[in-house]
Amino acid sequence: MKKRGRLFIVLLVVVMCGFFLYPTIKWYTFVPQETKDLATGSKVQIREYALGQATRDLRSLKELIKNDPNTTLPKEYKTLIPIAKENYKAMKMAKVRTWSVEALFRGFRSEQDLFDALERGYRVKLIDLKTLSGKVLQLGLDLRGGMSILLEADVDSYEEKHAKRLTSSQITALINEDIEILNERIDQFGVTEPDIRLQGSSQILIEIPGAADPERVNSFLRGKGSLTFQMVDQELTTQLNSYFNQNPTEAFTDAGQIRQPDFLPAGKIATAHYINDDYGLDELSSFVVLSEEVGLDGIHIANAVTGTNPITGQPTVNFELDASGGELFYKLTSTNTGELMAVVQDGKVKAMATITEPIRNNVQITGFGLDEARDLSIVLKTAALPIELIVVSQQAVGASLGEDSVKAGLVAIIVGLVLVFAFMIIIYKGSGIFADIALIFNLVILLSVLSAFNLTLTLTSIAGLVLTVGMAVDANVIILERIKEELAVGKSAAASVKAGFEKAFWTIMDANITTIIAALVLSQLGSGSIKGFANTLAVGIISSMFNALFVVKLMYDASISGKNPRLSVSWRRK
Amino acid sequence: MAKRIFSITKYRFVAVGISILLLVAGIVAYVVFDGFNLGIDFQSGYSQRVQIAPSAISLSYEGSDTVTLNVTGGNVTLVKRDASGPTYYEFRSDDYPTVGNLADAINDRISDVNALAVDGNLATSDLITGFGLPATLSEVPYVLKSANSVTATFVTIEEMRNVFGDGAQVQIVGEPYRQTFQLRLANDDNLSEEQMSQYVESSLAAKFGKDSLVVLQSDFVGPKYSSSLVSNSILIVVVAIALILLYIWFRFKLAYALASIITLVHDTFILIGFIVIFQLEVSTTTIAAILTIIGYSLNNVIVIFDRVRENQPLLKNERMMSLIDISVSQSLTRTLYSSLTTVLAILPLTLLASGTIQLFAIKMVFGIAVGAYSCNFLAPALLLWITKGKNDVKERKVETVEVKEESEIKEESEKEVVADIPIPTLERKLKGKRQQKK
Repeated sequence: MKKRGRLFIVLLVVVMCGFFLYPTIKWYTFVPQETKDLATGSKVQIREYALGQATRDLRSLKELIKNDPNTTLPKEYKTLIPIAKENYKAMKMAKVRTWSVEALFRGFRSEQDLFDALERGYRVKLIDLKTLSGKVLQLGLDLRGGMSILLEADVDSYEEKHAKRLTSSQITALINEDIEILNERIDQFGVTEPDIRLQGSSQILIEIPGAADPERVNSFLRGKGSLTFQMVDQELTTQLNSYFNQNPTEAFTDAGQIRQPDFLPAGKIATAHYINDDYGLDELSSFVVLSEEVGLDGIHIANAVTGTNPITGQPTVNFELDASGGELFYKLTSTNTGELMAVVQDGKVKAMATITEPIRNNVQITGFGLDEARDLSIVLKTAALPIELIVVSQQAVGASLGEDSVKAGLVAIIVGLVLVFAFMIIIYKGSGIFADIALIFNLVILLSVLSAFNLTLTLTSIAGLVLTVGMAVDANVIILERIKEELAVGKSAAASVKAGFEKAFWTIMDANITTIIAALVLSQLGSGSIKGFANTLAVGIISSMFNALFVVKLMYDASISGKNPRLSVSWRRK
Repeated sequence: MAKRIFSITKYRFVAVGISILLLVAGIVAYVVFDGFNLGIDFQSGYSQRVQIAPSAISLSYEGSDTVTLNVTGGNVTLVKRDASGPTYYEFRSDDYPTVGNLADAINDRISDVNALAVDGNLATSDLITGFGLPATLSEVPYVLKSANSVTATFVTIEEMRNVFGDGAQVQIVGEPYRQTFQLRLANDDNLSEEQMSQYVESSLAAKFGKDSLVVLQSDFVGPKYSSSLVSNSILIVVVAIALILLYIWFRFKLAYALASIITLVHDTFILIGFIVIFQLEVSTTTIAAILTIIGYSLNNVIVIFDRVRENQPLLKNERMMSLIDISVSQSLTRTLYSSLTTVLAILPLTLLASGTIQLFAIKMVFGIAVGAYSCNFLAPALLLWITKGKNDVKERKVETVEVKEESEIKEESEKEVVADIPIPTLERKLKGKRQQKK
């Protein structure tokens, strides 16, 4: 291959590495820790933060306008100007040159609009960062502390209970329902957001970053207390909605929680009805006042399905209650006939329905669209998983141990790197430096490939990384030994380099392909922790071959072309 | 400079002897120790790493807002979310060296959090975190623990063993003063993860007190998982070896493939023997180590065989034996340097890491040593025998003088150190599959 072509390929690889490593570098160096915490938190936390910040901003803006409407708009609100401009255009108002606080307010139809714009600004920024964090080379749970649990569908007990055999596709369907339900329960985790996914056809892998507490995880899996039925106080609800609409700054605390206004009597709480928005987040649709007393705990729900009303054709949600639940529900519905009842999940109203008659076991709720009905049936099922799960394996690592492992791993890599560096320079002098540069480049390529494929850096992949450091110089050693041999028979520097590379080429290929085969088999068939090791090793070997045959070759070409060719392969030889 | 040619093949019987000896040692150890020291990956059970750590500081909060606590790298962070949004309070161990200082500072800066130093003299940087962080503070005090520095209260490994009797294996992790123990319990009664962790927790709490322990790590492997892992591991090794064999067969002659596969199987068994003799724990990472060694030792063998194949047309007049000697000698520096760089890189891991990664590194270092030995001594000998066997059959048909001639050459080449044989200087003839258009 021509030199220029080779240079082009190397440059291309450098650019690609930069492209893939950019998010990682940005994340670890330019994003402040507080923002990182927020962005990696759950979506609920992000919403709370955005609501809180927007409330705070709106309050200070209102204070500014009260003091002096002509104050120029402070810098931190500059992001609102484009939105206000759009609104000016839409409302066909004259353009504004200097933005005062008053001009800004005129750019929004209502305080609520302004509040929404502020809130969206904060939310979009954090959601974007959250997306960025997904593209970043993350540390595995064994390094930053956390817990991973492998669960499997308890098919035997299901078959016994329902007296029927399950096909493997039925099991997968049930397991997928379980996953949906567990995702609904994620909110319970608050600070950290677990990653829940299907593994194989009948297993669920849950990974919870941060040093998660096994006890909390168990209650999460059981899903107790997350779903309740509570009565709605319609009169107070109307009062609350009109009050909050008039005073948007009063609706939320700066922490993003709904404020409990003073006019609510004891035993009543202000909460809100949420529907799913485009972000997959719950979006507030209206405020609701509930009786604090729990009418029925969702744990009594035996099953829930969606259906259609045979007469009206409307989507319905039907659910069954167990015996004791039926008693409680009958009592609740017979004393509250005609009243509004709310389905509450984690303190948020998910659905409301009017009680038309006392009901015992089989409940049917109507009055919403197909999607809503489906969502609600999922919410109702949250109380009980369609198929029980058994813990197949569970690993938990405390944060201290993770920190220690990272430290030990880093020191091991650096010491190993220094030793290999020194060795190469001692043996090969100038050419050793070439090999060392290639080695560093090798690590850069390795890290960028790992982040490009969204792989996490685990303890075993550190082992793979260390091993790669040792094995990466092998190709260089093969080439250099060949070059030495060629020099020994009296060839010129340029001819020796050329022959050395040519003769070493297939040796390097054959020798490395066997190791790559072993690594690929491991990465395809191995279990979680082994995969990390195998991936790192495979990528490391391939990139070390690339480095030896392309990058190092370029360095030689540069050093032996020109008027004063210099080739340094050992301390003995000049 | 012509390289010195070592008559490696001369030692072929010694090499086979050593290999057989090592293999037998492995088998004996397997019988004596009654098999492998299986980790919980392969043998359903529960393992936990605990550190005996006395209470250092307790924190409680009685207000209506949320306060979360986190500890990273000895620095304590408290985040308070109230009507004015989240406020961050960081307490660095450099600024507050003792837990007493820390407690005063927390009480000072956050009025409604109540911090109480249990032992004010403990170092802040020694604070240890296990599960459950970041934690939300409540009226029930959250107790942070610190590494034990009082020698008198050190827990010995015997005390720890007595807690569980014969039901558990106990090991000390790191230096004894770190007071860190690895516990391993077999799951003979088919208990669930919850039952096992509760059993361990309550047993430890009863003996040492609930507030003087930190659980650093826990692993549970159910019976289903471990049985599927065994079959999966065997599958992995078989598939990998089969694919590698196919590749070498495709690239080299069958004789080369056979010699390298026997070497590879030999390396694997010696490594397994080493693991049995020293009773190193067998876990999933062991499979990774074995496969890496398979790839690695093949890598070495192939570099040598590649040289043999390359030298064949250039040294037509040499006997196979000296051809092999020359090729091994030519590759010797490379083999040694490559093994050395790999060992250099892994060595820090064997000293610094702990747990499965340290074991992995130890197995790798041993495997590389075995690989370096077998590629220089065993593989050439095997190649010699396999090709000689073939040639003998072929040539005997034509001439019967062959046998005598061979013994003569054998004597000749087995002189102490063979004289310098010039390196073939011809440009390598590219032929067949390796023909490359440059």
